[in-house]
Formats: sequence, structure tokens, C-alpha cells
Amino acid sequence: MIYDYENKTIQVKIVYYGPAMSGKTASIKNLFSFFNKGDILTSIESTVGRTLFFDFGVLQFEGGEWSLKFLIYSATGQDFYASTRPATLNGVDGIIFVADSREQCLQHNLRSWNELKTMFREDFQTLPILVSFNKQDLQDKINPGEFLKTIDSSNFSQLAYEHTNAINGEGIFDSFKKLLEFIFPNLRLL
Amino acid sequence: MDLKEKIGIHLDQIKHLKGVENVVLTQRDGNPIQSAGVWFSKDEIFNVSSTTSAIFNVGIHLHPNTLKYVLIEGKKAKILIAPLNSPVHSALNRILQQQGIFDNKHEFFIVITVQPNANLGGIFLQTTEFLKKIKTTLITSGESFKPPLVQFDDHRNQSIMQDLIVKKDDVFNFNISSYSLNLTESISMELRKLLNNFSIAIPDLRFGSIILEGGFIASKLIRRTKKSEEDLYKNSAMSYSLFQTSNQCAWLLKKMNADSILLDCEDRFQFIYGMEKAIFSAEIGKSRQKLGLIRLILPQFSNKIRYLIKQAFEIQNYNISDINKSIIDIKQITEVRP
Repeated sequence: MIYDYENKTIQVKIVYYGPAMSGKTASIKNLFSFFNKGDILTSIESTVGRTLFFDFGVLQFEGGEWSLKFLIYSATGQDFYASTRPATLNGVDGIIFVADSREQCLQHNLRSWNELKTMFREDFQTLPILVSFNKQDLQDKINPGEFLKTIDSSNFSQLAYEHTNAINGEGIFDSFKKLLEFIFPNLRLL
Repeated sequence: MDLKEKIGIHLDQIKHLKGVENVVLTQRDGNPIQSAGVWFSKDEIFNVSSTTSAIFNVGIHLHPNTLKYVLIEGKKAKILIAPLNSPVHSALNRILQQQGIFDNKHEFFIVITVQPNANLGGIFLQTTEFLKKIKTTLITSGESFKPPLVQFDDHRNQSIMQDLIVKKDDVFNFNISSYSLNLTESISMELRKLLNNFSIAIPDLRFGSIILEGGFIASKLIRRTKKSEEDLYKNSAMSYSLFQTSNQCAWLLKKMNADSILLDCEDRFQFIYGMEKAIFSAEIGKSRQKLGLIRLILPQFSNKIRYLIKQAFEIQNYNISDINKSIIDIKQITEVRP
């Protein structure tokens, strides 16, 4: 996070992370559409339309004296490009972990979570994290409690979860808001 | 003779140019097609193709239709990444386009590792002919070489990540962490002054930006371009990511750090200089100044920037929690959804 005293601007980096096809790009697109900024996203994607490196966009807000710029990324979920994930995560201030709620995806979610954990030092447990249980519209969903128990969520000081559906936008804004409240506890998004 | 063997012959010809260590031809999505030279394993080729694919795709995002090559420079080697349909093949491109068989402009690229003291200009000139032949062979074959969507097991994923751990000063530097930095008014002013002086020394400067670890903009200067602030943020995110991935690629290939990157385009250069906790990115038009002169001037400024950034990380005398407490009500600067 950068506090720029000259321009009275705070730059904050948020990364959407999670297994392949869990809905990271759809979530980020929906978030930007919510703020009528759907057209400003940049996607470095493969020729078959999968995220090859990252999606990126900036959301800007103003407060009384300081303004906030959120640099929002989504990391690639494709294992073929796993090598690019550390570059996307570097300097992150908060993570939205997009889990695929389908029962058969529990192991994929856990594997992605464990990979994320190994890339951080001990400060992973103090990092603001929002687990977004996506694809809530589908049948045979995992129990969030089971996933949270497996990752020992009680050891994390700033972790919350939300049910989302990136296709219709349900829970996407709330997830973002919850994460921001971890980063700036007094904040109210008007 | 099958397609890969045919391509292999041309790659071998490139490999035999003086100073060339190894070469790999890759499909745009990162699928290695054929290689020549010394490689330690298939995994090494795979990892290099995957990282260079990210670099290449960012490069053509930054400079669509004009990118000639990306050059990564480190102490032990130079790594050249060039699209097969480089604008230098314009005559061939035109013929192929007229025949309607080459509409996807950036389907393949080549990665060549050369020794640091090699004559790059000579290699580039001699390579052009081989690349034309490879391109013709590929296009007439009709093969796409797109990689399958794959999911690796934990072991394979960990092995990829381990290979990418970049070591700096003998310390492993893979662990990612968050950080807060106070960019004081005096440091911001000094950085801006430096960028202004840089624009005087380099009259064709289009824009310059100093980007901190993570992709945050510390200072920027827009000159001969109509870029908006939003464009500049996108550009900075891409330039930072490109540099980080180039560093990984340099480590994979030569166990070295990338010092600088040059993106050579038809009408401009983009330079990216690494400075431990920041990068300096500058886009410069080609009309007035020679590459050699720019390359002499740039390091002087990047050294000064490096010093200031180091200072910025040392001066932390502001109370961040007071600012955080003061952020209570915020609203979107542009349009808010009704």
C-alpha cells in the first residue's frame, strides 16, 4: 500500500485468486460493471480466452481529504501459467479467494489455497482475505464450514466469507466491501 | 521429414550463429514447438516457454502491431523474444495476408539466449531469414500447436514454483509479502524533478513512470502522448509484471537477474530498468535520438531514481494509522451506480 502525501492518494492492491474456472475473471468483470466501469478492464488472455497472466483495472474513490485507488488484479488459474502467479501477487494488500462451490472442486480449492499459503511468509495469517464461495446457483455445493475448517480459518485474524454468483453479481460487491472493511476498518462506501 | 524436424533444422542454423546459446520456438499461448542448443531438461524448456509467453503477450498488449522484439539483459546473457510476424518481415506478411492465410498476427514467437558480449545486431540480421523460413513452414502446415488446458498435480506445481525462486544476494526471494510505504512530499518532488530533467535530456520522451514493487506508481510524467491516467496505470501494471516475469525467465535460463528490458517497436522504444524495489519505465519516440545515446543517458537517471527509492523506504516518519482512521466515507470518483 502506498501513501502518496503529495497527491493525497492511497494506492491499494487487491488480487482475486483461486483455482481454474472458479469465476475470478467473471467476479472482477462484475465488480467493475457494478461501478459502470466494465469497459476499462485489461485482460492478458490466451488465444482460447483463458486468463494467461492477469486481468487488471483501477477503481478510484474519494474521501474527505485522501482519495483511494484500488489496483485490482486477478491471477491466472491455469496451471500452465502458474509461473506468473507470484508476479501478480507481489505487494498485495488484500485477497479475494474465489472458491468453486461445486462439491467435486473441493480438492482444487484446497490445492489452490495451499499454493497461495506457500508463497507468503508468516504474514499470510494476518493478510485481509475474503473467501468467495462462488457458483452458488449450482447444485451439489460444498459446505463452507468444511472448507474453512480444513484451512484452519480460526488462525486468521482478518478472514471472512461470502456466497457469490459471479454470473448475476450476487455477493460480488459485498465481498469487495467486506475486504475493504478489513483494510480500512472505519470505511463506509457510499 | 516431419514439420518439427524441418523447423529444427532452421533453429539449429540459428543456434550455430556466433554467440547463440539456445533457442526455442513457441506458440503464443506458451506451447514449446521445437528447440535447439543446450537445455537441462524438458521442464526447463516448458518453464521458459510458459514465462516468455506471458512476457510476449504483455509486450503485444503494450505495443500491438508494432512490436519488433523484447530484449532482456542481464550480466550473464541477453534473451531475445521476437514475434515471427515481426514488422521487419512486412513484405512476407503482406503476401501472406493477401493470400488470406496469416490473419492471426502473433501466433508464434522465438526465444534466443545469447552471450552478453555477442553482436546482437548481426544475430538479428542473420536470424531474420531463418525466421521467415520457419514462418512459411508453419503457416503452410496449418498446425496450430495450441496447448491443452491442463491441471498439474501438487508435485508438478511445486516443482514449477521452486524453479522460479529468484535469488538475490544469495537470499531466496520467493516469499511474497504486503508492505506499506509513505511517499513523502519531498521524495515525490525529487522524483518529479528527475523525470522532468530526463524529459529535457530525451526530447522524444512520450512518458516515463517510476513503479514500485507490486505495480504502484510513485511518479509519472506524460509528454508527447495522449495517454490518460487510466492508461498509464494499465501500462504500469503491465510493465511491472513484464519485468517481474522477465526476472523469473532470466533466472530459469541463466540463474541471473534481469537488469533491463528493451521493447523495440517500429516507431518507439520502451525501456524498463530494474532497481531492487522499483522499476523505471520510459517510452521514447524514435524520430530524433539514436538508441546508443539513449542507452548511455538512461542508467544515469535510473541510478538517481534507485537512490531516491531507497531513501523513500528508509524514511517512515508518518503515522499511517491516523490516515486510515480519517478514511471514513468514500465515494467513487466517476459515476456511481444509481
